[in-house]
Amino acid sequence: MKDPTTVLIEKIQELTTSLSSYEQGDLLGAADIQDRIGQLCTFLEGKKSLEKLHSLVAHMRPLAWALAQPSYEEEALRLLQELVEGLELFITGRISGKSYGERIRTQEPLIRKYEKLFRTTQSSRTEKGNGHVPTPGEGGILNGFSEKASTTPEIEKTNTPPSTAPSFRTEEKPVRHGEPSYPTNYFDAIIEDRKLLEQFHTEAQEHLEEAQATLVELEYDGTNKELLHTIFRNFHTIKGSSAFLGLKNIEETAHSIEDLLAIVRDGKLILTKELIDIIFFGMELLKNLLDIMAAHEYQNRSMVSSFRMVNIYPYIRLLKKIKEEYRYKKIGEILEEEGKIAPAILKEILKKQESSEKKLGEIIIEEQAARPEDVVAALKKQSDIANRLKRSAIVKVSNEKLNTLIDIVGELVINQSMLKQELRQLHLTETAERSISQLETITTTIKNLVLSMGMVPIAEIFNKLRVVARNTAEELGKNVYLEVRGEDTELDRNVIETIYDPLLHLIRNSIDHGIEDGKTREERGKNRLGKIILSAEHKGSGIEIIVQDDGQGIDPERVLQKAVEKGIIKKEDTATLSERDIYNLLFLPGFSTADQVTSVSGRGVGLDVVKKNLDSIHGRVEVHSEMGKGTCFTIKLPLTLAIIEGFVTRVGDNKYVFPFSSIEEIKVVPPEELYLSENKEEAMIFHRGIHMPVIFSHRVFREPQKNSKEQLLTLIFNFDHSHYCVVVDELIGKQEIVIKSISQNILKDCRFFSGGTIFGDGSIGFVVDMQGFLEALK
Amino acid sequence: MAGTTNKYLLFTIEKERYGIPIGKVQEVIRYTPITPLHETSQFLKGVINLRGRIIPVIDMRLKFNLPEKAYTDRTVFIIVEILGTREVSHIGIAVDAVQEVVDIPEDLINRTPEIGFKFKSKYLQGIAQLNDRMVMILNLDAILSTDEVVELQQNLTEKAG
Repeated sequence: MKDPTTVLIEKIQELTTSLSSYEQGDLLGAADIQDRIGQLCTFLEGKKSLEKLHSLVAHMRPLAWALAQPSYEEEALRLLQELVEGLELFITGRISGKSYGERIRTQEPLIRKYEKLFRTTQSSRTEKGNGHVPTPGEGGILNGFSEKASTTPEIEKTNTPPSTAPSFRTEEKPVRHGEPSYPTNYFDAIIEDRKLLEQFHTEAQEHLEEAQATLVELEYDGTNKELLHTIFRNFHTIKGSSAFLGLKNIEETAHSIEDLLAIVRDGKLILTKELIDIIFFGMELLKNLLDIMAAHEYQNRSMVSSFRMVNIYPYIRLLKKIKEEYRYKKIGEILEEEGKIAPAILKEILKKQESSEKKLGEIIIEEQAARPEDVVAALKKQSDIANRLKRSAIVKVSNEKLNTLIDIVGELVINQSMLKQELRQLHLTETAERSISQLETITTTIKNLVLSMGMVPIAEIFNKLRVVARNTAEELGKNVYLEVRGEDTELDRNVIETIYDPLLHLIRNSIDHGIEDGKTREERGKNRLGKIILSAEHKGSGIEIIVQDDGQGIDPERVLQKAVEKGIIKKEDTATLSERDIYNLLFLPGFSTADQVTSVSGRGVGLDVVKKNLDSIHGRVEVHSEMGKGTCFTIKLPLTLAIIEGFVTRVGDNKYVFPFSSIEEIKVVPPEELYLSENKEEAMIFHRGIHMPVIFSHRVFREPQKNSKEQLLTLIFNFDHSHYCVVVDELIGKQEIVIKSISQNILKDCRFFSGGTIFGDGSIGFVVDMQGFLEALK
Repeated sequence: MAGTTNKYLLFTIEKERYGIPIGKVQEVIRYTPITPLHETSQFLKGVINLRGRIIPVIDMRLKFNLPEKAYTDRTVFIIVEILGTREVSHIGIAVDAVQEVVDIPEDLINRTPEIGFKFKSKYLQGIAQLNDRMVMILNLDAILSTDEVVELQQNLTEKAG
């Protein structure tokens, strides 16, 4: 299903998201960005056609690493955004490889600079040349924690640099400058007791392993106190014993992780996925340090020289930043930070507050220590931070359970409305009336909630379609730009699955048959670049999706000619067809106007598949086309497949449910208002200044019709810009209807049913599809 | 080696015995009121509500072009699973009476003779002799996925086992 390009685009988009959330102050994003770039690299590795991209992404690694270095942070972020944005434009076909190349070239000096920085901080061989010392820059997070290639003591035996290193790594030379600057006496306290150190090594390894297992569990259950205590204890112990042995670097690292976990444990910070990644990163760092100890067989001097190579400070600084950012701050603190209040005054006010009932903000305003609007802004900032802490967690539920839930809620809705009807007939006390209304409100709320659970934004498939458009255009050598609108429109999961194929067909069709090649377009005075608009929006109780191109349009004459050739219609019938009828011929099986069969379309299977798929979810498709200007396909879909607002009527012996959304009003037509045609077969009424046909639904449903001498009960429908007056025998009322599918065996005979429904008393009703209902009359 | 033995549900229509593989049968229910459908093929009587599902009911007498019989509380509906072109669907078939479930060894089921038989061979999986009585094993998928009335041929040659 997923072709590499789609995956690539998804990955790039994820990266873009991480970058922008980092920019907005989500400092946890740094590790996320490094991770994603690492994933991209792994993905591109060894793919022949993507070699160029691979080396480019590899060049991004130093930039991602630089994000954690305070002095380079801003520049690196800007550069990364530039590169990633260009990459996305290039992959989605909006700019050519050439112009992307130019973009990169202008940034080259900067990229080189970061590479150099990266290289110098990378570890090198130790003086003895035995053993390569890994650092978090290349191991750990960049390979998604799973490969320990560069962090195991195995490196003692081999002298090859780890395979995960980016492609621009030069032959390793012992680089001695640019080392992290630990104070000279920093490692002096390390005890000279091999046995104790070895013991610590084993113990710390165990704790890290336990922490790792716990962290994996925490990914699914981030608020589990038990687990949080466990992992907190792990780092606490590592911190304690390393301090005792004088391993200051290990102590500081463990300490900073412990502090972070303390905030999480106290519920002041939610353990997000990014945060878990950050902790993993720290664990890799600790593992590296432990590995160094073992690799040097706990010999102080050589151990320390390697220790000096590994800079723990960027990581510790990152954690510090996070703690600062995510702590729930007091108003006073915020004001002080922003320089809106002098520290000395704040101290005084805090003193005053101790002896008063008032809130700090109030006192500040009273004392005129800060401007009221500043206090308000600080309050807002405070609540923003608080809200960020309350990030909603996500629970995964199986599809099956969700579908069952939707079904059951459907039943609940039916039963509730039946109950209401039953009880209304008895004369109830006011309290009972109130209870019934309340019950109705609750049921409706549950229904809406459950239905919204099954909704997903259409962006899911729109993104895939972007790729499809690009690939198709490339295949056919055309320049096409796909403009997407309304990506966040939400609709039913099941609907989304069904419309992907139709949309794919329509877009491929547009590019193949609609959009002309660049030369022809120029001759016709159009922009060389063809444009397709793909948009989704809510309309009424449904969704409208549009695929519109600015190509050559569909020639109705040619459609007719083809249809006659293929024996789809008879020549003598062509004159009677309206333009809409002609375009509808396109959706018949075996119809194709393409002169030659291209690899993309033209086999005449496209559009009938579109129609078939849409029929299965009660959707409709229409075509409007203008020669030379372009073609527009409009798809109309129901919001959900499960429940509709229906108007229940009785016709003859059965109950029939009409879609409530297309009913304008109920009208009782006295016999004298009815205009009958000559043969008494057809009728019409004049209502609100419009002549509209009267449809006796008995004829469609083949139900026995009672004498029409009396007045008629009718529903006025407004459907597809026309009005109809439909006669029924009895109006039962508006109800929420759960559509149950009826076997295809029946539906192929009754095109005017979209399904059935079961009422509270067990009786069955038929749900009418207006389109089919009107077509049945022809 | 003895061949395999399968279970079949036997029922009667107009004194003839028919069998269908038990695996196709979901359940057998007593007559429940039918919501009639007027717009469909003659033999599709309508739909019933089977525990919240809408199941179409086909009258086998009409399907085989036999005279219609009013439903009584003796009438039973066999709910069967058929493989349509696009879906597996459940359909009720109305038959005169359900008899029993029997084991029929596969080597007792003979291929349908080509000519002079009740149905076109595509509607039959085979014929078996059971206790000197003939059982026609129906191919339900083939019968129920057509819209036509399955014509029974009148020149039925009695086959003595």
